[in-house]
Amino acid sequence: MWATCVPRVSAVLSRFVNRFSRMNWIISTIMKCLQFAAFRSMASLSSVVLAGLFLAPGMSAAQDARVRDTVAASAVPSARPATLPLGIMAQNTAAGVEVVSVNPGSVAQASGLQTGDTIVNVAGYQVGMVGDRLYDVGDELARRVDSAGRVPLLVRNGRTGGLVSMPVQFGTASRAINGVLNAPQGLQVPPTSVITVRLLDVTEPQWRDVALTQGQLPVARGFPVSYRLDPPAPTPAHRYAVDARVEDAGHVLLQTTSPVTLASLDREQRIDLTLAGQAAPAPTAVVPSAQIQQWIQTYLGRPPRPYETEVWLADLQQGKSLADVQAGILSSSEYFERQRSNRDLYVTDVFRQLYGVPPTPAQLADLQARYDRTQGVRLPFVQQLQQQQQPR
Amino acid sequence: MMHTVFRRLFPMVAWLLAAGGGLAVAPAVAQVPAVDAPSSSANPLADLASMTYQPKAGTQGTIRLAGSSTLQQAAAQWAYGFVKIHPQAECSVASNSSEAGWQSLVDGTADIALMSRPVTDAEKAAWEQKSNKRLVVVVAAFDRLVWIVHPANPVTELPWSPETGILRPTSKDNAATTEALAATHWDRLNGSAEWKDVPIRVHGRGLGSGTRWHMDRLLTGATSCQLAIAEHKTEAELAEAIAADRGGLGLVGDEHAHWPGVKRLPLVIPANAAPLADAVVGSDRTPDCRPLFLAVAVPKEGSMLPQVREFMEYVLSYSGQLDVAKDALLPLTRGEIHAQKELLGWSMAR
Repeated sequence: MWATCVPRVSAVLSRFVNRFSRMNWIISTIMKCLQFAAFRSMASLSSVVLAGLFLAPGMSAAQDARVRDTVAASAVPSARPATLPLGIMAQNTAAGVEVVSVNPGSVAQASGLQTGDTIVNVAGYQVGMVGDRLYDVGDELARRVDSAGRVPLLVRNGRTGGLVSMPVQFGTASRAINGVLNAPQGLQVPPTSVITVRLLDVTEPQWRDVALTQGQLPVARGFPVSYRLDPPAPTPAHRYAVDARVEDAGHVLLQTTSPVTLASLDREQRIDLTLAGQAAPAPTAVVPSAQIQQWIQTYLGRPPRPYETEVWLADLQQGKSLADVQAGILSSSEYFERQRSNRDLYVTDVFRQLYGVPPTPAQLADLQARYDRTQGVRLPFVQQLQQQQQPR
Repeated sequence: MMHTVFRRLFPMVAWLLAAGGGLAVAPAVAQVPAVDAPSSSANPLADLASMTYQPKAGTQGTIRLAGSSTLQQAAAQWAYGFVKIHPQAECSVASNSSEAGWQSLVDGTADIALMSRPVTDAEKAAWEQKSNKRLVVVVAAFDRLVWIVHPANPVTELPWSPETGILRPTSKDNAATTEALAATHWDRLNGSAEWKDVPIRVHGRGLGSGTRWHMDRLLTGATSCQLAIAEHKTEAELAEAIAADRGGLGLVGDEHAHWPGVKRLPLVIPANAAPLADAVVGSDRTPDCRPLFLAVAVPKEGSMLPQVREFMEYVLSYSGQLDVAKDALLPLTRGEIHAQKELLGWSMAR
């Protein structure tokens, strides 16, 4: 009975899915008519819960319990793998993700995916083009994979047109980097401090802050703290390292003295890190977040907007300096508009902000010439002025 | 949001039937709709944190950017961040207007045009004829626009439709003029009889500006109605003109709409509005969110210059989108970034 029943159901479903694809635009329109605020708030809440409970592939529930307090278990999305490679070349369509080719030896091949098949959904979540939005199969795999590396796909067979449920098993051989962060004994950092552990690409000397992935966790219970990072696929011939730091309000309190170089990224490995530094900044040290907020208030005449300070602090984590932040604010469109988008007013005010006095007529002429040389692109203009210690 | 729910609902039914041959008991799985679109209070960059820029060693060469002043600061930040990682590369930014940026791309004096309006069909056609290169246009950021009026104006919102915009022209004739508008005086928009003699006077940026392109479309929708518009060189001048004009109506970038003496107005978009014909692939943002584009010339029989490709990788990464947010523009979502990479032919490997 099953032998006759299943193909029939499959054929009916296939027709249903085909029709569904053609009716996408109708559904899209209906959906836009049915926007309920309740759904929106429920979904927001659920997504936070999902992010917080994410398990990296290859981790058991027991392992998860053990590392709940680790950096990787924090609700920071960067701690999860960006995508999981199936090993296919694909085309996004309204009917799903059409497989153009399958790489030999890939997870896709082992699962039975073939050229011409279409992935309709990942664990029940549709992928490909849905109305006018793209739902990426790689993103969806990373979101839906279970702790054992399994995730079911619904696939339309390219030859028969039938729908099949296809379990996919990602490798359980983890490439995770984990270890323990140690700090000087007895050291107490402010409870508002945040630990950041980064996987760096250190192929070129100037890539000190090119982080491929990072995890963050508030310092709650002191040290030692265990961490875990799930690296993305490595680039051949590139070199990698791990570092860590503890920051409070953008001020680096503790950090590894230098990044710890990794031999490779192709296997799970334990890297313990030792942090050095001081529990509190020197009383005279500038606190970056306070400095940024002060610049926003002074230069833009308003308090920071939601997440505006975070954006600039994230810029510092990318290896930029406080001077870069100051230049960024002084060259922003908003600051320029406050000077009525007028070159002379702008260069005069930037000079005044940097040196505390208005420019002399000779200095103004020099500023105008400099501004024109940068073709009105404000960032390099401000950076040049910053590098000049004394006004000429 | 319901879009997302339906996206889950339909395939889930199909999956349950297929998995169990239609007869098995459905597993008790509570599928939770994901939230992909950022809310205004949440940091939109948080979801991009894993889309880090993975640089390619040995990148060198020149990248020339030219175009819209709206994208100038983001472009300068991209150039600075990119050259910091790739000191052997050189980036130049020329800021003027979308129109000038497009011309630079056509002339071959720019590798990437910064555009605050879409490339028109006529421009694309002319490009195809003249150039031996193909054109790839991707979205690099969004800019929320906001309407401003005189503070004495009792209007509280501006209803908008994709077909007829705010001013509701009654004719779709290309030659239609302001005579054809249903809303020519403020009483039609603010409902106050006292304003029936106050004409709606539109203030905007110059014709080459992308903001102006969007303003025309938001005012008159899909019609080609020609409006008399008082032009201003800067948003500051525009805002001052509105503050001094009781019947004024103008459009400015949201992040700059803090001018004294003007009132901000929300655009009311009908829930059942059909998507705009030129809606951005992979995005469902509302029409008051203006996409900001990068137009790139690619050899027909080859691939993008390696340094330009690397630069685009940077722009469409967490780092590039952080640069966007630093100038108060709206960064792309993960889905939007994937869609742009798809347009560039990159994200095919899965």
